[in-house]
Amino acid sequence: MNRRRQSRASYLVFASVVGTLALLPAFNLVPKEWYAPLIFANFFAIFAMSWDLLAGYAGQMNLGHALFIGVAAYTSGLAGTHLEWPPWVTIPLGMGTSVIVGALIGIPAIRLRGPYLALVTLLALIAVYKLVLIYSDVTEGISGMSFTPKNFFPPLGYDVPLERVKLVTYYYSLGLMALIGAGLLVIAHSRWGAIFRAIRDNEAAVEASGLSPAKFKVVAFMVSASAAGLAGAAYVHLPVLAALQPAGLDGVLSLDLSLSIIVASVAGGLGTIIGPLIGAYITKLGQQYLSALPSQVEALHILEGQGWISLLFWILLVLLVLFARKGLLPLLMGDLLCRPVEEIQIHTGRSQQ
Amino acid sequence: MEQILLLAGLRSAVYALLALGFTLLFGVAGVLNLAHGALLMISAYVAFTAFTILGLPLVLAVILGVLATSLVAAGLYRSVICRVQHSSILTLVVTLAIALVLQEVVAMAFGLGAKSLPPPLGGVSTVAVVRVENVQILAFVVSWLALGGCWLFMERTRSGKAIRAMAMSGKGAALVGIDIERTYTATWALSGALAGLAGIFFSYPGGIDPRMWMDPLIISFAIVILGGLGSLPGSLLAAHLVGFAETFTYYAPQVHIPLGAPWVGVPSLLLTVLILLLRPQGLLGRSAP
Amino acid sequence: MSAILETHKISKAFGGLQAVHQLDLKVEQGTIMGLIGPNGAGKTTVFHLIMGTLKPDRGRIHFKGHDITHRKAHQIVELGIARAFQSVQCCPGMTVWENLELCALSNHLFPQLLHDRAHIIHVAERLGLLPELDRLPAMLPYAGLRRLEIARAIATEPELLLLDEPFAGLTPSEADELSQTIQELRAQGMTVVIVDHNVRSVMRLVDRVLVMSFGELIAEGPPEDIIKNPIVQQAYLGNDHP
Repeated sequence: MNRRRQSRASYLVFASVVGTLALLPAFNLVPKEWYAPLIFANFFAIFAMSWDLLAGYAGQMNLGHALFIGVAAYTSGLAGTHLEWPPWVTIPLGMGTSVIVGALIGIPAIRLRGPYLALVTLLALIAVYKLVLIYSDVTEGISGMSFTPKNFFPPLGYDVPLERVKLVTYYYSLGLMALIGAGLLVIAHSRWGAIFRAIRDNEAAVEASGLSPAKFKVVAFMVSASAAGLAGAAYVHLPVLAALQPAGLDGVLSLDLSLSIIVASVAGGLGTIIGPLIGAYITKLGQQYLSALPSQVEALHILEGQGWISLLFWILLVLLVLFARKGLLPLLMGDLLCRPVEEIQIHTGRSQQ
Repeated sequence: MEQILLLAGLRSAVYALLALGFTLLFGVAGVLNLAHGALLMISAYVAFTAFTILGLPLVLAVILGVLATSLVAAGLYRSVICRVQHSSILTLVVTLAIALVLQEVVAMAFGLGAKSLPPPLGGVSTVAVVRVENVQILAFVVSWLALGGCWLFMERTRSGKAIRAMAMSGKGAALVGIDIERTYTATWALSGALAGLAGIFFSYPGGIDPRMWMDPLIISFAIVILGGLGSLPGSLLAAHLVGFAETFTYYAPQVHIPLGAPWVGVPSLLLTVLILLLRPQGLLGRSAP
Repeated sequence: MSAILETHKISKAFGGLQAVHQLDLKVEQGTIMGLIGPNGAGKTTVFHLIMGTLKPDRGRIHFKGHDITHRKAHQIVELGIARAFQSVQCCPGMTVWENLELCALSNHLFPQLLHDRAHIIHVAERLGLLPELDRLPAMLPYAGLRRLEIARAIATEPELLLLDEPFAGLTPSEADELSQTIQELRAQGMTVVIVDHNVRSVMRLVDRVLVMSFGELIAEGPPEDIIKNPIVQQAYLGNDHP
């Protein structure tokens, strides 16, 4: 079948991306200062793939994906610093909280369509962001939470010599990405994935097939939130993370993160999982390359700081939406991986006669 | 308490102005403009630059701010929005991206710190035993004048009638020979001007900073969704409900309730989400499309 | 024979328009029934009410002894009613095979095929879709889309099949093939209701005919009686004659 060929191609591309990333350090291809960006890119790839399952596959436009990441990160971080629970408790806890939040957003999605759902996801994110700022005596507000080695994930915190921490962290994050990414791919090519795509394309047809769109929408939200939540909670316990910030491009509860996930996914190709994966690496590493530029090139010294990179991102997003909605991957590979979503899907309501 | 009530009444007029531009765009073009809050910011920063840096008279600075915002809004429509407005989701993504673009531009030009625009009218007056800053009264008067002017424009002028016709039926308006593109552009310009005017007064009390666009955006959402998307009388009533809730939140510490400035926007968020969940068609007004 | 589907005085109004008024309808198990009437008589609305995509203002609907009046659309499909829409309701991004497979899934958290793949292939074969399985719906000719729509309905393994204007737009030979398929389905025990605005196109196929006009049942009986019925002829005056 056509679909089986597509799923085989997807697994193949995914395996080669993971394989390449795994081999990079072995051949000494990673300069020291590139470890941290690569580690963040591994997480960013998980964020983008989990968003794609929800928005690209199930067509549920989520403008506040950072909510799932941030809720897990903050739950896990707060439980670690204030209650001093170990990471192997706080990570599942953070992920669980995120799944619950996913269900809470998914339930209104049963009734709300298109722009109204997108609004609720956006407002929910802003609401939680405000709460973090309001309770800044607990969360340390806009400046972000900092952690001690005690909060680091066990294999990383204690005995590992400092120079090896980055390498171990790199493989730890890559392993997580491979695991979650493979899980998302399996789901995308499973019956769930087929139902998600059907919900995106034509909800009335799903109903007429005797399947409950409501149930599988909530499933899509919970699966996406669990993947994003696991990554978000694990992210907190990284030794390379200076502080857990809510705002900005590297913040976990920010509009910036939500939108940069959309940038990466649209750039890579919606509804393919692989596209957002590759888009995530390109945008995150591109961000690192560009932010290092002003310190290296004399003429660019005025561009010190992250602001102009964000600016570039958002302009890129506008241009992508205007001119290249199919994304990079479908452009290069046709429908080898999956029939791409022509443009970000909308539901205007069941089409009834 | 009397003071909070009075301030809420005065402030609600600004909120109504703020929401009017937002609901106008929704009613006419079906566009939820997430950059609406950022438009407020443009006018505040243009006025700030003109007054503090260029040393122009304040009134001129304010007019420049409003004009600039109106131009930016119309320009945004002609360059970007007109290509995506057929899809409400794409419009949301793009207008949110534009809001962030404007935020970064302002942050790069002026820095992340707060700036303050001196009030166009100093001093304090006593209104029925309550003391209020004159600028709040001025904001109230100007907002109602603008609301009235807007109403007259819609009722009496040709462009206004065209905009109203478009709000009722785009296809119908095209059939009777209304230039759709021109009317959309005019609506964006008008919406921008209203946002610009609201932006001048929204920044009192408190200052202006590159992240200031979020609260006005949330507040316009709450007002428009509470009042029914695209319904003007509904929006006016909703502006007063939201205005009271937000003003009370802001001044709550004065009556020993532990809320205050950081909580501004939370009542609007709660209202919006609740209404979207319980009554998607809003309290008043026609149902959402 | 017993009634598989019964409606009790169902009514539905759209604003001021009474689309269906106090309609009592009885479908006997194992029959092919025709529901005819001039355009705007409320036939399609009746299908919407049975399928749960619209809810009646008053009245009740029973299927196999279950009260399905307030069930959700997908639950009604699960119970064993399927409907082929007049416009095709498929997922444009999925192949014919994927579309059929979707219909053959159970509504569990982890959906399983109701039968096996062979069953879906059988359904596709019966409607002449075997060569098209890997195609996207957009690549099918109009008659192919109509066949896909009916195949989708059959793939849900219904006991009662509702067909909305199945012959519209088909050539006479395509229509003959479809009639044959419908008779085969009935031979297997499926009950079929066909909506059409024209008696003639369905009269060789159906056992009984119900005639609707302005939301009400005006006549009922075997097709040969209905054609002669003066009330029916009256209802069609100004439209095409039955």
